[in-house]
Amino acid sequence: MLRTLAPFAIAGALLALPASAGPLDPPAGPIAPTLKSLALVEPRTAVNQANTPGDADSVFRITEPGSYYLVASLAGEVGKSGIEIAADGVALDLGGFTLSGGAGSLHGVSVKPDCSNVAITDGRFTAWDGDCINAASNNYNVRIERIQIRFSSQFSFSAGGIRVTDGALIRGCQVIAAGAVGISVGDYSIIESCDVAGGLNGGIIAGSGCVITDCATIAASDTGIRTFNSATISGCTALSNLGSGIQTGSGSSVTNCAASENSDAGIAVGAGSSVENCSAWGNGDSGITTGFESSVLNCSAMQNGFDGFVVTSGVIAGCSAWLNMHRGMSAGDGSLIARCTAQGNTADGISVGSNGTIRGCTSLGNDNGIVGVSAVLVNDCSVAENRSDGINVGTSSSVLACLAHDNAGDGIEIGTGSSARGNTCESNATDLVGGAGIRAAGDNGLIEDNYTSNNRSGIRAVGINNLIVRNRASANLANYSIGAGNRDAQIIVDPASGFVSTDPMANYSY
Amino acid sequence: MPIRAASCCLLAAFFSTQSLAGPLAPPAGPVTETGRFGPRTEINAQNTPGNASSTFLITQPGSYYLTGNLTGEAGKNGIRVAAVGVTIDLNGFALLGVPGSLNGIDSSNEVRVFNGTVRNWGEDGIDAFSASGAMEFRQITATFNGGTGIQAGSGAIVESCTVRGNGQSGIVTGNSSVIRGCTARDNASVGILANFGSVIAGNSSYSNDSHGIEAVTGDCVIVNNNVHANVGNGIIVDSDCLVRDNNCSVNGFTSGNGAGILVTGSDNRIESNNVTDNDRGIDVNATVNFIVRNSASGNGVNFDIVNGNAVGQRFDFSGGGDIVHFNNGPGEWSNFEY
Repeated sequence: MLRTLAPFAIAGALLALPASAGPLDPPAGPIAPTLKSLALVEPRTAVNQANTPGDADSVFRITEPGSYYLVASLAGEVGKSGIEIAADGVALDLGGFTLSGGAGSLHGVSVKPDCSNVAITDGRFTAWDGDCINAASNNYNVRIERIQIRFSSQFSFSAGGIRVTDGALIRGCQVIAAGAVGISVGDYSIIESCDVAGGLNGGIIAGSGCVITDCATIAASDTGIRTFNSATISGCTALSNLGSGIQTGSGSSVTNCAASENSDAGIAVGAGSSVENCSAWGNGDSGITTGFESSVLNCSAMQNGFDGFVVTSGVIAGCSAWLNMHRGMSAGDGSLIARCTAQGNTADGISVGSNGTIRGCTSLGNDNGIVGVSAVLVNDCSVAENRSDGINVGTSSSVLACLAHDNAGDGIEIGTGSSARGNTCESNATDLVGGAGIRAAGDNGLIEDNYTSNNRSGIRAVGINNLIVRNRASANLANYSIGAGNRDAQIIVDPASGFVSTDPMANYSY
Repeated sequence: MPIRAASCCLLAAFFSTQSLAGPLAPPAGPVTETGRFGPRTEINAQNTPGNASSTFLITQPGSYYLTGNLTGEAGKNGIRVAAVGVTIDLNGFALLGVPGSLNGIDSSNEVRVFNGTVRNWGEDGIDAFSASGAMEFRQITATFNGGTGIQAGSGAIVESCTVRGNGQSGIVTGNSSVIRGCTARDNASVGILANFGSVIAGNSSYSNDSHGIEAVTGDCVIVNNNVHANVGNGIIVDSDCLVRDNNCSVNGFTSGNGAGILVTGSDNRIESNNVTDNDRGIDVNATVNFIVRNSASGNGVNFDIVNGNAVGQRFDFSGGGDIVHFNNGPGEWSNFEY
């Protein structure tokens, strides 16, 4: 009995519960969609013949501002660009598709003159006879991102990969074998995180005031990265380019860059520039060169085909120059070279022009260790095992508190009107006739308070009117070789223990 | 940003598949560079293989060049020239000797060598003394060689060279040579030595362990040189020389015994030289010489001239004073002490 009554009881109970859903009747009126329209889902305009028909010189042509996207790869046509942008305010998403030019084609994407505020992103280009992207006619505020270009106009000296005028932003692009120049931008542009390989006229060429960051250029047939004035280049590498690695105009800054195996200079900057924390290795010409009034800080130059560093005038500090095929570092008149090392260079280690200062440097195994033309100040330096002189300065110069040992030539040689004070010179010129720990090669010099030992001659004065006082010379082949006409103080020979001298200017020999 | 090594491979792969230019296969024969003066041959083991006595041997006329430093071998010359008409461009590089090595460059034929360094060879830096003809040595630095820095035969031109620290002389040439614009210093023997008929002009020779300049067999022109602090004489000439407009100072340095200018023969013209602070200023030990218009100061003896020479009247202005030409006063041929 309970079994047959239970279903009816349950049904009744359910019917007694309040209603929980809405009415089943549909609302009045025509049936309307409840989903988002295609236009809302994809508000952009597809690039096709219907929306963006081409003209005589373009496959597709965009004439209205807006956002556009490619829906398929594009094949070029003879005498035409792929996509022509003839309006301001156009964003073109290439959708990851490839634009292939073919023989006789023009540009991949061509931005008509005076059209600005254009963005081109996310596409691939190949085999165009013109530029892959050309926005080079008063097209401002152009942004190009995530573009890949391969083997396009690759034997052309006029067409290239990306060519844009002033104020461009190029980011995350890769350009391989793209004709004349991989990426070419006008003034005040930014290039970030791009790779460029090849380029018959250069890898990256930029105008004035540009910022180039985290880029790499390789195997360009000219300079890897070349800019005009006031450029900032950081975090870039330039490898195996047939010109210089990195070359800038005046007033530029190059930091944290590496330039290797380029055929010309590694890094060459114009006047008033700075190079900091960079390396230049194995370049065909000099490692790092600058124009007037420039600074090179904390850099290294190794095994370059000419000088390691060449500064027309300015500062070289905290740098090292190793095994370069000419001088280690060379700075022009009025320059400062401080805290540097030069070792194993084929010619002189450190060379400065007139009115220069060399301070706190080490020079080993070069031709001359340190060379100064005239009116040069050399302080607190160490020179050893050089194949000629340790320190050689011309007229009106000062060599102070330096250590010179085991140089094949003189330890220190000074010219007319120069001074050598407080230096230590050991084991120099041991096989050099006429060599000395300290040589006064000119007249009217001052040799004071130096210590010489185990040199060919300790102190040798071949000029006249040199004042030679308060020196100590020991175990040299000849402690003092002083020519007639010099003004050398009394030489006290072999002073015994407890000796007394009343001459505060006396020289000592023992 | 890492270098995209694959880019290089792709570039290389692509270019190798295209036939857009001429044939890639090089022409037969040794690799030659087409330089400014026509094809040149790189000096290397393939083009100029050596033999038992030379690291490299040149057996064909032509123009040759270095592409890097050359390190010598014991018992060998660096480059041996065994052909006439050879030009060697050291290209700014160095021939580096090692202990026991022979000459840096050894030639018995006329040769031209320029633009580089030759150093630390056991014998001469360059030995072409047995050669004759159109030889030229320009812009060479020859230092610390065991023998002579540069030895050239007759008819040589040695110009703009630096020779220092060589175990014998700095520069030695045969007859009828020109030595011009060179620096010779700290050599163990004579700085510059030339045989008869030579011109020695515009050089600096100092701190050599013997004479600064020596015209060993006379008939030379020695003009406009600066000769300083040599242990021996500044300039020493035999006969038939013109020695003019030189500056000779501090010769006979320290323990040496030297004159600014020493004349040992006849028929020399010694004119318009300035000699200062030497053991002797102008020292003439022979007769029939013409000595005029010289100035001397601070020498042990300013003029030490034997009788039998034509000597401009000497005037002593060591106390200062005006040099005024008047009867019995200084004339255009006079020599002066001051």
